[in-house]
Amino acid sequence: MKATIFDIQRTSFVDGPGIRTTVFFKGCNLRCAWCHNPESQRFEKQIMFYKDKCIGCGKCYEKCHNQLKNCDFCGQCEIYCPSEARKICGKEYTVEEVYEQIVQDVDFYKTSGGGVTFSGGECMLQLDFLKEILELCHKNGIHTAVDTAGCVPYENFESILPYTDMFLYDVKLLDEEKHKKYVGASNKLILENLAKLLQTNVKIWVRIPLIGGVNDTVEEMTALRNFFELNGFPEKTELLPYHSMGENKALAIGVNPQIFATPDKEKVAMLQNLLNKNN
Amino acid sequence: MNYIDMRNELKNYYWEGTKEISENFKTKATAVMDAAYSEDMSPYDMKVLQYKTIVDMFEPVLFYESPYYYETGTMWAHCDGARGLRGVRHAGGWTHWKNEHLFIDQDKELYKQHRALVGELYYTTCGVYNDTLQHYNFDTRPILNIGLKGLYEKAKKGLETAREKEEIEYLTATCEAMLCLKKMGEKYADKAREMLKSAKNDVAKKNMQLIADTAARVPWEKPTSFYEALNTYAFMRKAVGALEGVGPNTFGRLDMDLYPFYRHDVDNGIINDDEAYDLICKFLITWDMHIDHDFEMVGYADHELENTYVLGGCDAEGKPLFNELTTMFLRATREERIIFPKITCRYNEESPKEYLDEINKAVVNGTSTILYQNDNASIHTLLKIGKTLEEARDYLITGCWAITGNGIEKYDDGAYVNILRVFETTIHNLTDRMERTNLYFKTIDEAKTFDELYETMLDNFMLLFKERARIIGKGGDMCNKVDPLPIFSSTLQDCIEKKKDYTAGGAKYRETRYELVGFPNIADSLLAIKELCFDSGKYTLKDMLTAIRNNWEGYEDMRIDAMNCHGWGDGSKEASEFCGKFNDDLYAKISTLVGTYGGKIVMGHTTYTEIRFWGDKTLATPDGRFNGDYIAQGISPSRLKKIPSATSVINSLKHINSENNGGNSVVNIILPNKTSLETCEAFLRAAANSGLQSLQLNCTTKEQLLDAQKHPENYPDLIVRVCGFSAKFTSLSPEWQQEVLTRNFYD
Repeated sequence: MKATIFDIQRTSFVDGPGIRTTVFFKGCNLRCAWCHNPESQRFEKQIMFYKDKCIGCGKCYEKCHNQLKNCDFCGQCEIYCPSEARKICGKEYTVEEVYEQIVQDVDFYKTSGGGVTFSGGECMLQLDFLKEILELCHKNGIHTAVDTAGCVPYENFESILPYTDMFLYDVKLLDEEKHKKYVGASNKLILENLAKLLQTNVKIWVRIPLIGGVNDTVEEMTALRNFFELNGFPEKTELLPYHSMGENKALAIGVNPQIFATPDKEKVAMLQNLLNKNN
Repeated sequence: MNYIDMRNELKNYYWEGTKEISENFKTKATAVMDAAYSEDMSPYDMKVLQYKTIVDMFEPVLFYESPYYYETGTMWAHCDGARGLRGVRHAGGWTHWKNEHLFIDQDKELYKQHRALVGELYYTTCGVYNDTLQHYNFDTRPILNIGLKGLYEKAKKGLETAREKEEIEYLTATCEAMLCLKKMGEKYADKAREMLKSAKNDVAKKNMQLIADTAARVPWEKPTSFYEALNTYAFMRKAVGALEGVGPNTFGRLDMDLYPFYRHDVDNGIINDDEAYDLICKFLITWDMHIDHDFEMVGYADHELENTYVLGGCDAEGKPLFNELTTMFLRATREERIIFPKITCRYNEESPKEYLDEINKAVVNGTSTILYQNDNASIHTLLKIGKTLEEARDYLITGCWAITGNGIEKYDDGAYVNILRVFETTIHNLTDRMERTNLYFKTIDEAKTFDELYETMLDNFMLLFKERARIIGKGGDMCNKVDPLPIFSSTLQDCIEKKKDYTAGGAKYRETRYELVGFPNIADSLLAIKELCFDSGKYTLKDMLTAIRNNWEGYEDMRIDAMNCHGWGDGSKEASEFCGKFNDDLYAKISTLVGTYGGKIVMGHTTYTEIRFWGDKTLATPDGRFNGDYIAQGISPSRLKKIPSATSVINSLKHINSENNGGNSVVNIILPNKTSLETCEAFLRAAANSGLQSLQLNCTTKEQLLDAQKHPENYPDLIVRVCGFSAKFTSLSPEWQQEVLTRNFYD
């Protein structure tokens, strides 16, 4: 069994507790307008081309056996590009290959309370693979986290719950119409799943990308708080202020990026305050 | 930042004019010593003449704002005590220079051969043949215990049973040295009494009165208070330099050794914690103000004051050491923005969280003034080279990263032995250099197998190792006839007991260190040759050698292939296992040799600022390096390699048998600037179980450094660990900033 993965990031400090390895699955069923990993959206492999880095040396053309047409992702253009202007996004891995990378940092997981985080894209869309790697990690005592946008059948959650120590659950908007507009789908299933998940014992951190002019409002955060009041609070909520790091990557895959404003620190603190259980 | 008046007073003295002061004093003192010199004087007689003359002639320098008495006014502010440093000499080198010709006269061919090798294949900062200049880990503890008077009495007693001429000379010189140091103290007391008359404010009066009351007694008598003990360190730091002409490059384990004095004073109501902290701040500011940290670092070691001190670690029973003084020293360093003296923080897996947090607080905020030294690996290393468990647990760092026993030996720096240059000479077949150095390395051009090539390289390294051992062995024999060191030897275990100066082999241990240069570049190069020329056969060895000899010109694809091969630090099984074996093989060669004073030779992996300067003149290497590119620092992965993560570097170190690296090994790691205290602690704890010895940790990002280049005014406290020392990033020259910017960042 193989999964398409576009990055395995070791020594990650931001995707859950402690020092972690984050495995990024390729493919997502949402299209968030601010997506900071736009190269993660499509399931198939892609060539990323950073035009501003290209020095026009022609090495990619020279190395490509298809004259830069009908790419079979052999990787030659990426390897020999002297300015790192070309990058293949997506590689197929077996469970064993991914595990081999995860297991290398076990000592660091132990001392930090860290582990592995499966992210994306939407990792739960490659469910069989995810389940198998989760089970393997869990069996070997590695703390497991699943970072999800939650827009999948709840059965998917149920099937991985026994091997998942925590979820990093992304919530974008409580306003359904806005959600459809900016994310490209209804939030109904996402919120339903979260509500169900909050009834289980699994640890949950809810993460909200805070996008200027979209969801950085008292109304949105109050709505989310009300949701928690009704369904239960997660262990932690994290507001992740928008950054424009996805812009270059979007251009590299031929997509026009949408630019948003980054909320200032004071606003982030104020909104975060609204979500704190004890307030 | 506080203590403005004290800082200003010190700044006015240290920041300008001390070179001239040193030169003038040297000229006057030299004239007096030359006039008193006669051909029949033994080197011990000469040394006594030197001590007496300097002590008679020096004019004590005291500062109204400081309670400490230490400044002899005979050395340049940047001088750590070494008789000659960066072209500036002081009077404490008189005996050495008078007798230096003996090094050459004993064997002119040996000297010629040594000079041919210096700069070509090894680098020695310290002395004619071997390290006679710096890295003296002068042990202050015996003076804390029995005072100079106690040492004097010990030597005097030894004289009663001394029979050999040299024994008598050595012990007599020791007695004279102690009396000279006593006189120094008396002169400080006289000076304080004189200055007291013109003291204008209460602080000045209080300080001068304190010195007037103390200096004639301590350190001749053992110190009895925290203040007196701290001053003993300051006093001896300068006295050893001024009189002996060598650099005592570590204060030792200050939190451990000062603790009984602190405890005594606090328990008896003599001082409170605030007063102890105040004394520590003033002690640290004293050294920090020897240098203007904002002047541009351009050259070899412009920001280097050599001195370090050690905190934390474990005690003689192996229990973690962390006390109020540890916290105070670290807090004072943060609050007073101290860059010098350097700090080595020993740690191990059992170090308390509070201790690690206290160290990391500054580092995670981009102020990296600390060298982390992992006890786990370090103690095992010292055990392997023959130290007892108690001695190993008491180890020290001297200077940048010189690992050494405490009070039982001197860190003898056998040289930065540049195996990368041997490798380069072989790869490029540099027959000119072979003729110049008289070392003829075997060619690898016709190697049929990788093993054959590898063995040839090891033999070539061994040729240099042996030659260096021959030179330091013979050179070391002469040290005692040139410049014996009775003051340094007086606190060194066994010297007075055996009636033998350190230079006569009196110390309990006598290891010499080879600090190997370029291990990661060579390992990566060998891996590339193996993979591309022998395993896959993608290129012939002949083609690859041609490419390298042409600085890769016309072979860009091959260069990329070489850089994409497995390499040190990438965490791959292939690279890690190969590097482990390579390290063991180097050890197997070096451990058969005998060094200075008949001691063992141990190897390490540290590289000073030569990562730039030696890199400049080293030709292309098979790892993808171009002519002139940087050399990897110590055992840090090469910056040409794509290293997946900081953890991968530590994991790779598990494959290195660090016990074989008795001369220490250093790794650079840059974590992101938003690393939390918890993460930093966890990282260090996991690393404690690897082969990590010394860690130069910075927490920053490339973006932050680039921003600091554009807006230096916003980054006054961005301090980076450069190479064995720290400096404000904004004070580094553009070339040095570039060196830091091209390191591996793990974010």
